[in-house]
Amino acid sequence: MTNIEMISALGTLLSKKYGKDLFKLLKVYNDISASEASSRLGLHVQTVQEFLESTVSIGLSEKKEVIEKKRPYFRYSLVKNELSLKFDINELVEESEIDQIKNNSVLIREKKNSNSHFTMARGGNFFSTISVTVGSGRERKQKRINLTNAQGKFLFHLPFPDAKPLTIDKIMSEAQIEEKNKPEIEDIVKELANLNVIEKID
Amino acid sequence: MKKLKSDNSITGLVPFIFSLLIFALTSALFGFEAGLDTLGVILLIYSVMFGLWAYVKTTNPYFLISFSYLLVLGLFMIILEPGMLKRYGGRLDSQAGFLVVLVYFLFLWLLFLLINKRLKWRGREIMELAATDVLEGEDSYTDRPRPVGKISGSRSDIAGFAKYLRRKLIFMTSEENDRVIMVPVKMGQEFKILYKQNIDTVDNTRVTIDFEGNVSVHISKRDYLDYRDDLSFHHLSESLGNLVIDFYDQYIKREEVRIIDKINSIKVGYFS
Repeated sequence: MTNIEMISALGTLLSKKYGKDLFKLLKVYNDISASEASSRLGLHVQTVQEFLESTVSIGLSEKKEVIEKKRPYFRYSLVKNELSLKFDINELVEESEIDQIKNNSVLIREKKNSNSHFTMARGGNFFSTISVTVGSGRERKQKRINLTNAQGKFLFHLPFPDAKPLTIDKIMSEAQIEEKNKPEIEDIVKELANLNVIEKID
Repeated sequence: MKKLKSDNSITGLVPFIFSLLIFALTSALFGFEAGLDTLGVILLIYSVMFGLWAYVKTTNPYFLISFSYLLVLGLFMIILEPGMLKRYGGRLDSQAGFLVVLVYFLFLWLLFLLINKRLKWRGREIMELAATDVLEGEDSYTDRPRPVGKISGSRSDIAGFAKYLRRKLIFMTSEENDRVIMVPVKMGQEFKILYKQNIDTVDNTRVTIDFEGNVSVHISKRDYLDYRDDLSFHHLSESLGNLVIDFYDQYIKREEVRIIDKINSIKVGYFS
């Protein structure tokens, strides 16, 4: 489990109404089963089971299988009184995915039949939103993305589906977008590539 | 070989057919004189709708001839009474006679203007010219506009160019705070354009020039599908943008006649 995933899981546990009470039980009891904890707090056994399993996955507790009247079950015990977690926002950016874009080796253009609709900003040479149809049949829905000015300008200059594809840098230069806006451009390119609006050509 | 499909639309004839139907209906129900009066009123309304209003929107002075013709013809219909010829011994009274002369005169003038395409919207020729050297390209359409080039000129040059294109019915244009929008209008589509407040819609093909000279092009799906084949969308858009840029250069050099010559080089019918 990555650091971010651990922080996210811990946050989820603490955000539950009964989170603190269950942590207290784990601290007070030498070990405890889901059934005992659920009856103690008046919660559904399944809810408590899931909570305790999460504490195991983030390394706060451990579980041991015991057999009582031939029926196996788990008992949970606290193994750590504290957790030190560091939140580094860079971990959220999946470097490997944008490396290819960053090193400027990828050529891009709008994908054929992209099922997208671009809306022009009022009185400007850039787009303000893009709506993409995702899914098919009854699952079909519109995903609407509000664009920053830099992203809107970039997409305004994106080559048409049958035009010669260009690198991000070239399009940014044509659109006169500053270098400081490059990360947000890379982000929208990545998202639109996932939505099949942009075609990447190596 | 023309790239656009042939024009079989009867939109332009709708007002004519409508007025004849109303005339026939009112004549049958209330008598011939009531029919003539109704037809006269309809013509007066048409004169304002299709003549005066078109002049106000385009500043093309020839619409005033169309306005005058419909106005005089409408007035003539109103003052015309059944049996008038009999009453005045085979002649019309002086008022009606004057209107008849005027109607003939204006009709001939209007005919001359129509033959010389002075009242023809040139959108069809524009779209043909844009497609001239464009090859086929499947699945390349997108409803996204894109920049195609840049022109140099002052705000008044660009605004003046747009006014010129509008007056010559080459494009319908609309001036905004920071740009002009130009829509090529094919015959039969002018009714939608003349009475709409906003022409900057995704349904209209449009060339936009901002006052810094940036030119961008959007081609509507309807106009794209009006071509016989799926053309390369990228090249078609660039070609339309370059056509306007060429027109601008000729306008700036005061060689506007070359613009008209180029448009006239495309042979299409008077009403398409």
